Amino acid sequence: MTDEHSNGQTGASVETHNLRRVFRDPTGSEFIALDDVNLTIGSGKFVSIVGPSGCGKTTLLRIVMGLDEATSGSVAVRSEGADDTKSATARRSFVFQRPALLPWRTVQQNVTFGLDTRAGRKIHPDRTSRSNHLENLLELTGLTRFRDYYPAQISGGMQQRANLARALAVDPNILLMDEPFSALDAMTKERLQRELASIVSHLEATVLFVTHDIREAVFLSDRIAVMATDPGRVVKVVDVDAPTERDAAFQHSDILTEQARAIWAMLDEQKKDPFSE
Amino acid sequence: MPTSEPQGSTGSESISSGSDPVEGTLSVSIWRRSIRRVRVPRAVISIVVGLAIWEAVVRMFDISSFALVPPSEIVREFRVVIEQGLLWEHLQISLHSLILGLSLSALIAIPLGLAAGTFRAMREYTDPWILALYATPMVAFAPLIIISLGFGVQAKTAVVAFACFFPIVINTTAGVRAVDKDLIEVGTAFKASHWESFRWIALPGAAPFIFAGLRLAVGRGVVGLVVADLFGARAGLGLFLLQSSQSFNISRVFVAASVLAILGVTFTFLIAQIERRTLRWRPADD
Repeated sequence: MTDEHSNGQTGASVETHNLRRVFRDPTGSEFIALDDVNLTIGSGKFVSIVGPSGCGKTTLLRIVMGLDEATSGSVAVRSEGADDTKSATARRSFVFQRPALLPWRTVQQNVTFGLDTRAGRKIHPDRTSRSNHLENLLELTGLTRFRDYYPAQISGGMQQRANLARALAVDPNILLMDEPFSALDAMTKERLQRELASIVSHLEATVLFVTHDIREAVFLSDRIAVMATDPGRVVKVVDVDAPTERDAAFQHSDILTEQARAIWAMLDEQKKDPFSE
Repeated sequence: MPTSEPQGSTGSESISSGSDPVEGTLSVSIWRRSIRRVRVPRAVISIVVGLAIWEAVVRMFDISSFALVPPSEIVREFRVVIEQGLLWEHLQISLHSLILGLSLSALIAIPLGLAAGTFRAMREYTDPWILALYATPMVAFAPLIIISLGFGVQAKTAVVAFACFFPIVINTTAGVRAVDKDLIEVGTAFKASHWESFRWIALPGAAPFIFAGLRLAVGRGVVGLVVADLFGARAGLGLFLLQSSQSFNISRVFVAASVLAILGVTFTFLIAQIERRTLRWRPADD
């Protein structure tokens, strides 16, 4: 149990039932961002959601987080081992697309944001456990040297690490990530992908990762949910065949390329689908 | 070009942001700070050169002393005014009114602006009044205030407070509303309470706007000082200016105007200092 604690919480399963989200613009015309989405994500899995822009992948993530509300349907997030009555305790955490760090807080203060709130203070109630937790986290995300810098003083890659560390700080059962690497240059992006893979491999938490980068999805995920647009829906869920260690070799391997190509083909097919024309 | 150019312009900041994150950004901030150091003398040079040109023009073209007096003449008059102790009472009264009026105004306008920025209903109630009163020239209200509060410090303070009020309240409201929506969502995602979100996100986010409002308020407050005196006062820099002009003492009018200018600049500078200390997190601007 103690070991589990230092590495974050157990995972949580996510189940969506007939999830539907309709946006209405000021003129009254409707856009169906999500239509009848039924997705089951097992505890401890790393699942990516890919699809063309506008397919509702971010909307899906935001609904799971509680940042947006479904028009109809439901989401059940259940932490592992908890019975139904305790399902509400599954802790969710969000990594934003833009770093969204508070500019007036240092890196360290940003990382602890979720622990500073009245709700978050219960996570690490005693001082020593909190400070150990923080040290581990800063070490894990490579932020120790930059802890006292303000966000404006560090690079975009470092800002995203802080964004991730902030999400990990609250020991989430489920980690929701919204295209966190999309604004980074190719080199930083690949490095952070490898680091994320390594960090997540030590976690029990479930990860739901939205991206438009298919190679990234293959590299990181156990499973990939492929979505289609207009109306936004999940068309296929694919299992990824990956080695136990997701390293640079895998990142540039033919196995990865092949799987990415297969998913590309799936997306291409949708474009030809008369339904979306 | 010197060989040891400072490392990292804004250009190289974005280039280095990926591969070598810190070195680039660090040297940028150091470099920017050194620019700031060079800047102060430029302001001094500008003023000295400006005054020199003024002096030269007045002397060369033999301009009537009723139209324009040279800076040297103003400095001489300044000395006379100080030696005869003509300024102190006026300065004291005006300073008193400015400090009190500005503080009073900030004390009411900042909370009101924060509330109006946070609560839509509140904003819808207050906006029409604020916008209407702001659009009305201050000169229209000053006599009313003077009539009801008399020629003393209270009236002057009230006029200053009234003048300062609008830039502060309008900027504060705008500041709260301008806080990045992503940051508000951070509060929601990490389960911050409304109060925590306000204290940790909305308030610091609005702070630069609040300071901008305060700086604008100083300018308007100084105008308020003069306007109040024009409608009746027993003492004050505005009265001193009015009396000097009525006795055609042009040099002394300039002295009064200079003191008012110095007052405004000093207060603006003080607020800028507080702002810099409070908002350390802001990247140095160039």
